[in-house]
Amino acid sequence: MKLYAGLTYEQAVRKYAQNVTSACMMRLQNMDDAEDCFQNTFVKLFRNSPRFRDEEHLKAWLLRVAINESKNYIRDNRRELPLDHFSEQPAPSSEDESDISWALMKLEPKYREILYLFYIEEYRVSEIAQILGKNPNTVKTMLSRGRDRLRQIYGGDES
Amino acid sequence: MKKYNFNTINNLTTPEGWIEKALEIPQLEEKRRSEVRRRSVRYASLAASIVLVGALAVILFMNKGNQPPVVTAPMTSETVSYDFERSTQAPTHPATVAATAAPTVAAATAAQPTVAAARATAPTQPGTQNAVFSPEPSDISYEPTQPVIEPDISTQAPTQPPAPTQAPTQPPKDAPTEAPKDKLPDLAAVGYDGIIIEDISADELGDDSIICCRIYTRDGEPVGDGDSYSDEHLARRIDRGEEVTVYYIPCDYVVLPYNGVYRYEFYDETGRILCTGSEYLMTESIN
Repeated sequence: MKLYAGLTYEQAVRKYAQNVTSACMMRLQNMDDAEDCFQNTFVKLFRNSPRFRDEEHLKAWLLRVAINESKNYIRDNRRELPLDHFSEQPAPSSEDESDISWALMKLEPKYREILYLFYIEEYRVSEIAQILGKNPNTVKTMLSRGRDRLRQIYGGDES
Repeated sequence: MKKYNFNTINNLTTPEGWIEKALEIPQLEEKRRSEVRRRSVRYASLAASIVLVGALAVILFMNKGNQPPVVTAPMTSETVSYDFERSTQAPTHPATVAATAAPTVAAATAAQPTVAAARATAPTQPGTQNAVFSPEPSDISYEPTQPVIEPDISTQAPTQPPAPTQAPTQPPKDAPTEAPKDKLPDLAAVGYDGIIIEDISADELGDDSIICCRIYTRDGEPVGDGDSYSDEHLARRIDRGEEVTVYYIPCDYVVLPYNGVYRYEFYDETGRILCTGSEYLMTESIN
């Protein structure tokens, strides 16, 4: 039986299902679409995953595959949620929290992903660069621009 | 549609159904692989069958192509072969006689061993210039110092009428011993198609006239027996009142050196030319 960073397949699925789901939802914003990408991610894990050094390596690999699957899904289905999709916002439970949350959703997906990986998943820039297959300097730049963009949105200036 | 913000997404719980589906992936993959394996075996056997059928078809086609064509040329009733008997009966060039009538030549020359031996043992007298050493006939170096004595068969030659006054200009020769320009004569059983027919006025012929035919190659060489009145030159006649149809079938007698046009002439027993012409004659191997 193949092991994934010391975990069985079932263990790996159960441990990282949440992370994969969030990564898919971050871009797709749709549970049905996210489910397809979720399943595709674990199919790839079973079929042709590499040997993982450790669990961090496994997690980073899963997130990268999930993000790429989401991108490909949107490209193939020619559907991307417009930013004004979030114009109508439900009543927040906590004012500050929800504003930030919604403001984050107004970011372009590429900034959104980087901020999600940086702040929520708490990855370092180099790790984010590996996950997204980008240059670390590019990640730093996008991270900085994402913050500026968020400041603009949150501050009410969306130009 | 439900909207998701950053926190919602972050706190989203993966539905259990998703996880169970993901856990079934190994079984589904195994099923898919066995299906692929079965399909590939099927495709491999199909490809092998196609290759085998193709190879068989090619082999059959090539074997069919190698079969010799069916020869449907009409054959004469009797097999034509070069008649050595007739050739030796004709008094012709001595060398030819020596070549063809070897047994008789050998017999003739064998009659001289005592003479040769006598010559060989004759002591040479000083001053005598007549003594000649002649090797025995059995020696390899033996060469007849005298003209070869014609064998007895010359006396057995049937009496023939005198040579015609208008006999062919070329000296009679035997059948060519060398390969003609066009084709080697096939001395095995050879049959060919060709009949020469002419109509001659009955006034020109007597009732009992013997009619002969001779054919010549494009180079003017006569074909067949050098004796113009031998049986192989005998033509046949059909009397039809005022006209006589004469015909000659070369395949009954001679071997043609090539397929092509030959000149012919019909003549009577006095050598008078009755008619001439040319005809396309073919020679085909019936083997």
